[in-house]
Amino acid sequence: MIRFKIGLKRCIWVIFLISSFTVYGSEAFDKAASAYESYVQGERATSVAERQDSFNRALALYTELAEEAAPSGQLYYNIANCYYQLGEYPWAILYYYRAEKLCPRDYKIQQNLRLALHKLGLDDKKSRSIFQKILFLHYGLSVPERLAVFFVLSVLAIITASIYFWFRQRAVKIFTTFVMVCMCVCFLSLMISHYFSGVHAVLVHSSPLLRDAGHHYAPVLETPLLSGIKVEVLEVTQQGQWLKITTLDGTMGYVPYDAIRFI
Amino acid sequence: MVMVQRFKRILFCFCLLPAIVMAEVEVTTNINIVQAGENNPIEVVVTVVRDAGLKVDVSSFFLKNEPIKVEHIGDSSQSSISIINGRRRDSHTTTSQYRFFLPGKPAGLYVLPPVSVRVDGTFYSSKSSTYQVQAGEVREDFRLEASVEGPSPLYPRQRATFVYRIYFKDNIELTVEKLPLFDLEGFRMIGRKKINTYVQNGYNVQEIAQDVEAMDPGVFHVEESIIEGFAYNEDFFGRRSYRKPRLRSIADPITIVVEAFPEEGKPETFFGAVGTFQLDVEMLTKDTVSIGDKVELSIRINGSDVSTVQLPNIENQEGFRGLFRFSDLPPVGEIEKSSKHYILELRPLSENIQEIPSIEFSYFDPYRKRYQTLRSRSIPIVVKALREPESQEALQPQIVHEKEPQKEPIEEEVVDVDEDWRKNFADLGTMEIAGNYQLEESNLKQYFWMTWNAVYVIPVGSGILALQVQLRRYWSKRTRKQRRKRGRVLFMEAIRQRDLGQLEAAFLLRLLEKGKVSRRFSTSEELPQEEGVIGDVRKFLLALEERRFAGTHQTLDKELIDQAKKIFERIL
Repeated sequence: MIRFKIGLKRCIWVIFLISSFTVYGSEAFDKAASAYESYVQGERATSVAERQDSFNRALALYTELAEEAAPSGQLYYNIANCYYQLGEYPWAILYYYRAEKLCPRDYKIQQNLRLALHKLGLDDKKSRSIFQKILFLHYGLSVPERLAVFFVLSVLAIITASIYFWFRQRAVKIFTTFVMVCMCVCFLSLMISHYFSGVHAVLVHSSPLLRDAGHHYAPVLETPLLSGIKVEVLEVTQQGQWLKITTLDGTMGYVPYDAIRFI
Repeated sequence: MVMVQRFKRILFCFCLLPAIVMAEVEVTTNINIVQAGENNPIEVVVTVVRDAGLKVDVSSFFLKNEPIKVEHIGDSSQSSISIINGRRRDSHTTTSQYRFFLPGKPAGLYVLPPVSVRVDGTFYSSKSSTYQVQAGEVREDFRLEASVEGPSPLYPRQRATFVYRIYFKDNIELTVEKLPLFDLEGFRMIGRKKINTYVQNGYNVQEIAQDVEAMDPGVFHVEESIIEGFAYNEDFFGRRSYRKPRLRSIADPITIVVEAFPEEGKPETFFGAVGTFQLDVEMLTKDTVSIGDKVELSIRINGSDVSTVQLPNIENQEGFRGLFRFSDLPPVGEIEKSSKHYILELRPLSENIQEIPSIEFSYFDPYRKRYQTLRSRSIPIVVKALREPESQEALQPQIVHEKEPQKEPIEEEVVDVDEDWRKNFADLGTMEIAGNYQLEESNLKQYFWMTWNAVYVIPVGSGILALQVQLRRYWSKRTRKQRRKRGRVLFMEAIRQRDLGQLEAAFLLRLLEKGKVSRRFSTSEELPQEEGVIGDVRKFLLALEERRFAGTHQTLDKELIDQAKKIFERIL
């Protein structure tokens, strides 16, 4: 009787968890649908005010969704589009970069990113080298995609290794070795991304590049760094108030934290 | 007998006396001598003790014959029971306390007249008493200083600091603190009072400072500030013993002047900044923009006192009016040490704009007593026209049809359309970018194999493989054990049945079970010819075979059995 009760309790818990996920999923989906509707409304608007209102509404919903749901390239792309339509190009660029990080082969993201950069007079200097083309797995796949590939390879390796272990077939051994090598390459690529690739950010406000952390230091460049520029963050100083960065052309300096957002 | 009766009566009266006394209303007064400083209001506490049922009329207090207003401090109750000659008597008394203030008086001995009050319809009075107002002694080692630190004269919105400094040598418990600077009207207090204690020239100094901002012009007189107190010593247990006489210190009166800004020559761009300043304006965005694109300007105003700085209304300044659209929210200035920094957002509305015009900022120089105006340099800018919207033509007829169903010339109808609406409509262009994705549920979920949790597959997989290794080991061990058992069983069976063929099979199986040979041999001749137990087994089995074929030993005798057992046990 007691065992039956415990079993029943577990069942209720499982049902509750599943139903809560389902409810959350449907809520998020409804929000996404509503945001998409607002965005389309903005596209079809017949006045500037209506258009701005619709895009703002869509942006608010998408931003809420980004806080609640898991990060996704498509969601970031949608947010970036809203910012673009509202004329906030630096923020649009930031979100396009975030989307590109998760969906590196998405043509629409790359196209819109180029347009946003063009709006701010910035060049998209990105061009794929042969090296990058060869290492397609590392450069062509996002981290979540590589994680999924790694997971599949790992499971396959475990299964084939188990088969070999019991049946000692030569063909199985060769296949297992091949799968394991692929898995190791994938793992290596993930570790490189996690530990050795630089932290990138986008300037959302223009800011002078200073010699040290503080407004009283002289600027490194005569002109301030334009908003929308992608930079690499090297160091965080003064309790996160200032960031040491390097621009793509290698100029190093400090900018206040407010001016920058991490990709 | 008569004596006894008298004694009883006296005893009864004696016991009844406290009860009679308790039943009366008692009014007493008390003055806090420590607080009674020279020219300071003197607090008098009136205590009324009465039976619980009697009511005090609070509006009926008189000092001598003058009515006085008292403040009720609180009540307390007391109950007692007395039993005399078997008679129980309950007594409930209530004590109420009231206070009023006598005006401050110079040092001297004074009489406090009786205070009367009506309790339950009857007036009761206290006894008159004397009290002494002590003069505070002015000493060099107990000093108060009052000062205003900051610019003089002040102008509205300018900031200064009101400071009191108390110099003392011994520990002092202050009984009177009259610090009128901190209650001065016409000044806004900024933040909390800052209290600082330090030693200067052998004196302990307690500094109490308050930042203030002048609000309105005027002349403000601050009367003298007074502090009084007693020096004290503290014993080991922290008990204080006060030393007389009372100490007193008076700071001189102060006059603060807040001057009004002169109306003459007051520029339109003056918004209350006082001091001397520098203006630095630079453009943060690129110098080529399209109509409606956001341009950010960094406006930094450096100066001595930036707290008075407010950004002028740039929207109305010459060159900006009508040509730029400004953000609805005014920029918030950020104070950075000696500068105030604003980021101004504006959007050009015409392609004819060639520069960001000069920005004006005015301030009042209190030293030269005149207004100064700073102008930033104009910043060249290129504003490109927007591309003519393609959808405009497509959309216009729809709107016209809504207004007028009749087919009339479009040009005439467009004129009728509201001007603002048409402006909005004309600004609309085609969508420059690809549209949004319609998100599906899978886009909003994160599967664990696409997160870093997927890496946990390595330890889990290793565990599964390790488990299989253990399982395989266990499996082969078990098989070997079973085989071992089979060899021995066969041997015992051969001995029991004295069967030579079975004995040979048992030896061969035993060799395999114990791993002495790698494969199973069917006859003893196939066994390798080598030294050791295998060789011995081979020799034994061949000898047995010879005997069997020779017909001398068809079955096993005792000697052979013993020999076989010895060799069998050697196979380990």
